[in-house]
Amino acid sequence: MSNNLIEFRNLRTNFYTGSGVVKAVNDVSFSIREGETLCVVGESGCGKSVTAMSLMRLVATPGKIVGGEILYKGEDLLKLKEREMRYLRGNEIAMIFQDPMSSLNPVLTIGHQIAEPLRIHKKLSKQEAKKKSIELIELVGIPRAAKIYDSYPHELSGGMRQRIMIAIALSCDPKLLIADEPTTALDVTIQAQILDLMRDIKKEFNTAIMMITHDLGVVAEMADHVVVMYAGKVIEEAPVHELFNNPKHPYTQGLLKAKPVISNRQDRLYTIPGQVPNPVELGENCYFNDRCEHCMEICVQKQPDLNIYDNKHKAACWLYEKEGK
Amino acid sequence: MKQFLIRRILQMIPTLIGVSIILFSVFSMVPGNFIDSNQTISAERAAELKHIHGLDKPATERYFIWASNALKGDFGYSFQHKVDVTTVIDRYIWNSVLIAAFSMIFTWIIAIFIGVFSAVKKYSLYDGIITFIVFGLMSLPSFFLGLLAIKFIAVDMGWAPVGGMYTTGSSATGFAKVFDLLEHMILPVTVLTALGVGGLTRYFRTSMLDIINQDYIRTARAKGVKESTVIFKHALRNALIPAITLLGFELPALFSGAMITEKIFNWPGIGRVYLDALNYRDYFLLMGYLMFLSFLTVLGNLLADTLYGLVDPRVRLK
Amino acid sequence: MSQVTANPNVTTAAEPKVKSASPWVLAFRQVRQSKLAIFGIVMLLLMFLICFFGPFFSPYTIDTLNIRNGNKAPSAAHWLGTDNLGRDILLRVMLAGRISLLVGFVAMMVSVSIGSLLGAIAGFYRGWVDTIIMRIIDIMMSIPSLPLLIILGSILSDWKIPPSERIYIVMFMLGILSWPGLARLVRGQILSLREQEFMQAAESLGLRDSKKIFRHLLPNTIPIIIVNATLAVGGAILMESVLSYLGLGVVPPTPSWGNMISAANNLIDFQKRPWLWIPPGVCVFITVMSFNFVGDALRDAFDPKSKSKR
Repeated sequence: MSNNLIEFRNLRTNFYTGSGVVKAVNDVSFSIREGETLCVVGESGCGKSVTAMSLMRLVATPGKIVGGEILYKGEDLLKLKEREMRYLRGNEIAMIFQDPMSSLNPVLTIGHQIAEPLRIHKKLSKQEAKKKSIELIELVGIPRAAKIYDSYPHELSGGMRQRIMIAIALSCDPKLLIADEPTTALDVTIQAQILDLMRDIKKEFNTAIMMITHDLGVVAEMADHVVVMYAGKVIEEAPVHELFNNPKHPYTQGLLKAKPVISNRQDRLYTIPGQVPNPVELGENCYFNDRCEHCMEICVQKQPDLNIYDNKHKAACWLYEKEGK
Repeated sequence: MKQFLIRRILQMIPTLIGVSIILFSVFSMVPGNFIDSNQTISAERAAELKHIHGLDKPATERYFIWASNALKGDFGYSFQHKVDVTTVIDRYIWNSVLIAAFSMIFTWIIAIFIGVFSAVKKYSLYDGIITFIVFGLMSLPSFFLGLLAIKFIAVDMGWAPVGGMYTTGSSATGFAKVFDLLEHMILPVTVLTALGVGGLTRYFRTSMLDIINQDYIRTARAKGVKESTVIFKHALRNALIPAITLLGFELPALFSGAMITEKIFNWPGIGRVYLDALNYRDYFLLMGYLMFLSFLTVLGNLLADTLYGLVDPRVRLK
Repeated sequence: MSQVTANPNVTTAAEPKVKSASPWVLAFRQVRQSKLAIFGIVMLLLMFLICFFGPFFSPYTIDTLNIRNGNKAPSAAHWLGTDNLGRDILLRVMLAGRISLLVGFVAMMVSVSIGSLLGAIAGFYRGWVDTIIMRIIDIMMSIPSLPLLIILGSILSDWKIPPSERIYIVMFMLGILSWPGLARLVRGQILSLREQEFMQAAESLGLRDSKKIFRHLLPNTIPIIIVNATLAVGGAILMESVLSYLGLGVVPPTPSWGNMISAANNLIDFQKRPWLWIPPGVCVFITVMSFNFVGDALRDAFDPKSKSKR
């Protein structure tokens, strides 16, 4: 296939909180190819959003990127000047967020907010930006675009606002679109529409998408490739079919088991026992050990590496290592 | 919009009636009045004057006379100034507005900038120092700050005139006169600004802190908007909208005359005239002025609500 | 939809791990982190100790007049100098502090009792009771308080109230004019509290109204009341100083910080003898500022919105 667009290499992002240092992103490496949709999956608090914000270099205090590299077209984003990084944001790398209700500025018109990146990055005149903005509103499937252009966010529904967010993100034809749980806050029917829209866009513009989600339904529908994160670490990575057919890590297996299947109804849904570990008190062991049904002696003593197996399948689990057998 | 205004204006009426009753009761507790406290007036003349001004009638009757006159815009006669109360107010109020307006402009500009930077650099040394100074200014009694300013800046350093509006005996005209006026305004305006800037700075800091953490600020940054634009366009605009309301509440402050500051700096504003009127028990003036202030306060509240409706797209009144 | 909320018990199970702390403990933990609040508390404690116990250690008494020793600049014998009657300024500042602090506290108590009670009644009974109370609040908030206090102060003078009784009237005056703000806040809280489920439970128990208000509703508004009370003490001290400076609040011979500063009204004292009026002014300043620091930190601590920001 094609080249790597983004490559995370040993990224580390810490949060310095009152109760200690939280390693929100702990030695994470994976890459996104051009035109590919990559889904990052995991429970809330596992570091998937922080990974995305690190890529934008917008990690808010008290968070800080403390190590690693993020290569974009071979260049390390973490070494760019703030001005150069700003040029990429919203231009080559765009982002949409989870909650469309709060992600648009309530006191600026929709038109202003869509036109802003066009004016900044493409240096369009006011008229040109307006024309392009109206086209974008139409592109994301909102009728009466000229009227919407002059309205304020509170006048639109959640689904429409998320479409506007997508229009803003698409305005400068980005190479990579980061979508941080773009459908979580929406109604189920609207979710499907938004996902369809994103798939159409990907087809039309060949935009790579980094989709962050905890919804395996979304993963099955959208992803080419999947990264599973747990407590700040990548624990499994595989093409989507491979992952669904042959999950290696017990955590991934648990996730798939926890997913309801209509054809064979069970009395109760499977749940993974236990809870996500306290992020401040992580030791040198497999972070999943206390919830794992296959937990072995080595799992509480040493951390497994992310190793590559067959079919581009990577996993970090002692079960597949000789030490574990 | 029209309905809203009519409803609000109607609501003002019982409030103002209540205010006038309270004020009148307070003033009827005053044992003395201008005529009694003035020994140069003969007994017959005093009785005559009292009759003219209705002071010999019972309090309730006096209230209705006063109220019906007030509705016609007649707040009675100032014994001390020997003219109508409205004339006295008109004569002195503009001097008060002059320093109040200047200090209001300075207060807002300073508060916005300091407050915004304090929020952007929250918990830094800068923020700490600003917070300390702001609290200090909010905790200083106005007269004490005025006295310190006169003692150290005007008397010891001689950097500004001690008080008054123009240099006594000066016959300067034109540009020189304006310059003289400005020089006399330095200290009162500085003191008023210092006293007012604290609360507003606090307000802008708190609301900016809140806004900076909002999702739409993150969106703006993710669009590649410059940080200064993020702060001054995306964030500050949101902070300014509720602040417009404060502007409405400040209406009475603009006209009320900074009583203490004017007295300290001997500025011929309405606030000082009020304090002086107290010594003469010139209570038509005192009461007329208090009523006027209460009316402004009520009007300010109305203005605040209306302005808010006009500027916030979310509640924009139909 | 199929979601990764693997275990519905995750959040509930996680709780015992975090040390459970009441909102009070959390609030005080946070206040302790604010350096300004600590500074405020320390300054207030010092101010109290000095004003209430300091006079016992002073070699002078307030009655020892010594005109020949009058108007002396600060020295080893008189750290803050003496006034025109030869009285020790330090001693007078401490005694004045007792009065000013007392005025501040009593005024606050008056204001807080009236404000929280009327606010609770308005919010609890709603209907016409609420309408009347809110109207009164509207009216009181429309009258600018300083000019009104000045009038009231001059009425007290006209009535020739003896200075010793006058202090108490001034305290109540300050308190009675400052309750509407708190009443409004408390009313708002009570209105939303009484809609909550625990109140429906109280309803079903058939409790008396007074029990519902004092046992169940008002305790939930204590954070607001405490913040308001802290700031109110500072506000009352500030107001008292203005009134007394104008000669309309606490009047001599009872010393208060405000009426000590009015020494500055004498041109010679103002220019040549700053030790007469600067120390009491600084005391007002430090005290009010300390109350503001503490009040602000308490407000931050009790406000759930600002907690997440830290």
